[in-house]
Amino acid sequence: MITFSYDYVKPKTLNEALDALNEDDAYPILGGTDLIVKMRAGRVKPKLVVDLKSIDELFHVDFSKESGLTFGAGLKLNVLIEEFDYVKEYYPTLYQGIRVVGGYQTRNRGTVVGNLCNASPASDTAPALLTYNAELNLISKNGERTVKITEFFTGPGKTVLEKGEIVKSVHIPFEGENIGRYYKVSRIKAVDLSTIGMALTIIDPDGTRDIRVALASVAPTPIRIFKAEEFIKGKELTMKNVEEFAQIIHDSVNPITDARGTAEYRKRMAKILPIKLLREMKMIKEGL
Amino acid sequence: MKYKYQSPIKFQYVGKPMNRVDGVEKVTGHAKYVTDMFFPNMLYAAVKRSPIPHGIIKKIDTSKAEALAGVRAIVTGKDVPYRQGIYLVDRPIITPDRVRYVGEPVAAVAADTLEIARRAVELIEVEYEELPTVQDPRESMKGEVLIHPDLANYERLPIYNIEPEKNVFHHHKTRKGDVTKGFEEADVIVEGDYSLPQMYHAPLEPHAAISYWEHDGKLTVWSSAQSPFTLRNLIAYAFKLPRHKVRVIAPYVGGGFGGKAGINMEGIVIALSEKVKGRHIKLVYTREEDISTVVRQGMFAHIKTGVKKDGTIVAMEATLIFDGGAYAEYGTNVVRAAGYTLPGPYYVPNLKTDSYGVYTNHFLGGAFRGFGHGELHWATERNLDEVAQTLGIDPLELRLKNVLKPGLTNSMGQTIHHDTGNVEACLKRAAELIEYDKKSEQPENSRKVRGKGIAGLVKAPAMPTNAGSAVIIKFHEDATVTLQASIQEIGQGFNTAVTQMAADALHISPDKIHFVMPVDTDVNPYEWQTVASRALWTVGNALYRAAEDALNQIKNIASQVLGVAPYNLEVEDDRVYVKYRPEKYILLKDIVMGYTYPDGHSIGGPVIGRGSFTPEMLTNLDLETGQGNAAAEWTFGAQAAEVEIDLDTGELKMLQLVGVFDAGTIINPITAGGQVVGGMIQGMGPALFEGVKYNDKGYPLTVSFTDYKIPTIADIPDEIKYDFVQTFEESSPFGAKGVGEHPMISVPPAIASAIYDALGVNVDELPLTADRILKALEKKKNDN
Repeated sequence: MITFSYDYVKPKTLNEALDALNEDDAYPILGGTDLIVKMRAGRVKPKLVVDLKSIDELFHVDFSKESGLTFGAGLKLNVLIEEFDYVKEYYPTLYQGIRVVGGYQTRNRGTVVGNLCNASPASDTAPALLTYNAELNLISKNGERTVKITEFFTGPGKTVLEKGEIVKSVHIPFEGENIGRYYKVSRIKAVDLSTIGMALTIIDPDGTRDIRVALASVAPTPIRIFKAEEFIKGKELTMKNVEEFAQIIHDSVNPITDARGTAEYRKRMAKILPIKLLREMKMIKEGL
Repeated sequence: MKYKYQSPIKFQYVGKPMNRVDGVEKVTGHAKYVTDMFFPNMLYAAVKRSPIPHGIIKKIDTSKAEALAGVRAIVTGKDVPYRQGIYLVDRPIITPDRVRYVGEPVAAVAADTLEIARRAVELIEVEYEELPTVQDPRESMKGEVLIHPDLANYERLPIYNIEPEKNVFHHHKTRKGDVTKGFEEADVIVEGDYSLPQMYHAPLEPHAAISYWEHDGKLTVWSSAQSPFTLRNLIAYAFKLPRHKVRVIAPYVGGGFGGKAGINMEGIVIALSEKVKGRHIKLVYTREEDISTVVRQGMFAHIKTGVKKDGTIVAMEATLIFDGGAYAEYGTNVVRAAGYTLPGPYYVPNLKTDSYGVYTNHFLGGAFRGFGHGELHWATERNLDEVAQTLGIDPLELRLKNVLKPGLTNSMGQTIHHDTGNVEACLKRAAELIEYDKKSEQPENSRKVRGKGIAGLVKAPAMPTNAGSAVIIKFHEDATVTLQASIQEIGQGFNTAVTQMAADALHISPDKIHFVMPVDTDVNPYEWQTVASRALWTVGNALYRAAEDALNQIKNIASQVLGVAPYNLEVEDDRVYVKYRPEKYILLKDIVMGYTYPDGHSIGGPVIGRGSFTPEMLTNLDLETGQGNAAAEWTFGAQAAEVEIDLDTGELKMLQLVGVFDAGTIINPITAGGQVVGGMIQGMGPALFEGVKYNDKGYPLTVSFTDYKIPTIADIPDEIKYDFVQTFEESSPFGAKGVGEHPMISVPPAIASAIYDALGVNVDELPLTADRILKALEKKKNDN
């Protein structure tokens, strides 16, 4: 139960919504799978809740190989992966990440944008989006701006969003044929937050083989490990090279111990998972 | 003397599958739980809780809350200066002076709406002076921080040993044989440490109660309770009321698992209604509140076992140290039951057990499905595996070599009889079901390995020697029957089982029998509690007596009408007939309200059968040796598991779980199967991931289902198999005993055993997380 009073508006246009969001302690709501939980626990006490679900512009989806994928903030997690086949086909890592957010009911209500704005270090959608060089289109009364997802998160629960600013849509370029994995280690096998999550995407796997790696639950924010990517760039995927690649990832993360896992295990997995995933994708040259 | 037992009951309905009598009501959503109940002008309650794990309450300011419109009553500990508790009276209803765990109630509010009540709670201001905390019961035993300085003055049953200067609320001792001599005879001694954290019951329905105190002094409480009569007794004791002025009504319970045994949060809402007489007050816990209400105790164990080279156990020395949390209350008997049952279903001639219940600043530890046996078997079954490894004997063979058999004595010195139960048969059948003789098939081209493991178990009801039951059978005009037995339907299927049993005891069909719900202490016959896997056994006995009583009344009336001796009469279906001339009969409907002759004059009267039972031949245990006759009957069992482990991540997948139990006669194979499957899944939780976690200062981390994880459908094994060995239990005419708790008991050791089979490593701390499995693997690598 929410024990405090708050006002609620459901504007029809983006303009009205942005006006409302400029008021004191105004919070936007889409699926509410994070906001309502926080309100119920008394951790967030909005004076005004601005429901964005009636704003048509936020439900736009568009894909072409030339321009990539753009989807509005309103798209539910399940809608995105169940109604738009190209998500699975052209962004397999993202598809896998979305599929393991919360439970099925949560994914029926929750959105990718909500998952990003919640800015949990354990976000299951962020690592894949990091590997796909996603960009977020932000809008406020002051205008629009585009922020790379690598620059969006500033800390646990914190983003570059300013007062009155929301993420209007997400754009993911299509950089060519790719394969990928999102691997989530969690305490139970469904409906859980990650102990560690790793997205590994390989653009042009049979050609230039551009390997990208990003992780959840090992740092204050979801992070991409460019240093490791640079190391492996152009190199043969021998076990020796892959191990060094994994070592760089291991050395780049700084996890904590909490109810979901120990720092030690997370650190260990940061090194083991890239090898496991590359092996399962049959990318490693020699031996098992 | 030659003796051959024959049941006086002919089984026609017992043993057959029958759909649940409450099935339609439940699947249509019409079954009523306390949360579903509403009364005119009802008030709603909310509880103010301690944010710190240990401290003195300096000041409580309720003035702002009182000023809030719609607030009808506020209580603090000063308003209810009573303690409560079933075995040890150590738990305040609302603590007046000192808080001992995060979440402890310090005040409560009743208001016109739940929203107002919760707002008012936020407005109550409490000042605390923080005290140092104790987290680990082993540390707590040093007595540097005393959690209950007044422990010595608390009332308790005389079967408990307190050690107040060590925060020990019970020290159970078993002294059997000569342990020193036993270890001298041993060829090999294997010892180890085994531990597990506290665990939450996680019932579907959180704790809920409604209280109504009439102006004339009568108190009525509706509660989601496993033990309506014991609850009434404890309420009356705490509030100093005569029993007949307290009425407890318990509708369906949405899962109890021990967490709703005894008394829980009812006192809080009763305290409020003492201030607002004549109005119903409802208190329903949130999931977050429920998690901090009562849990299973944590445990640290040290087991030392001496064996001969051939695997014969000659001595065992065990120390169990339970993390009892802030209050013991019910948990005292968990410590005792684990203490007296150790070493489980095996014969150990020389045994020394010390089981300690110790206070900490954790959630209070109470009853939980298994009642200490999941804990003790974790330690003993793990230790036996390690004995087998040391000796190079197969773990199953080691167990079979040492199982309790007729003629041998258990830890309490009780002799095992031919009808006590057959653990050997359970182990063998479990081995058969999991194909123990064949190694796991390993997946090809994979970095995953598989293994199988097995473990035994035993549990008897842990109850006072006089835990009684009573049953009333009432016949109606058409010879249909209502049956009253005050066992709570908590999901276990009792209503269905008892209907089948009554049908056979009365020789009428189950559709003519209605089991009365809800349990109402003003209306129903007495029942101690719905706990301990005892209902089928104890109520079975009372029911048989009630049925005999009713049948005798019927035969006595019929005897007069038919002019035939009562012993020559038999009741069957709709009639009572002459055994040797079955064509001579009277319909039951013409007799169960008394018989009326054609001229109008009548004999007899409405038939009401009455049966009472109290466990036979039990005694308390000697406080120094633990010897005596504390257990009335035992259910033995065995469990097996097959697992697959990812060598890279340590992640574990359950392939198979097997359970075989000797629960005597299986009354209903459908509901018994449901109990067993559900119990095994519940046992997987603490095996693999469940457990309450605290930070190093005593603040809980697993405060909601976000971080307190229980199994989901995604976690259950690919295959669950079960079977029953049915050794007729001769102390009940039905031959039946409980199987409610047993299925969860030895799931963790069976899984740990399977992990060893797969990887050759022992993990002795629960839960068996990927992290711990990998660490053990690494240690093994380094040791090599």
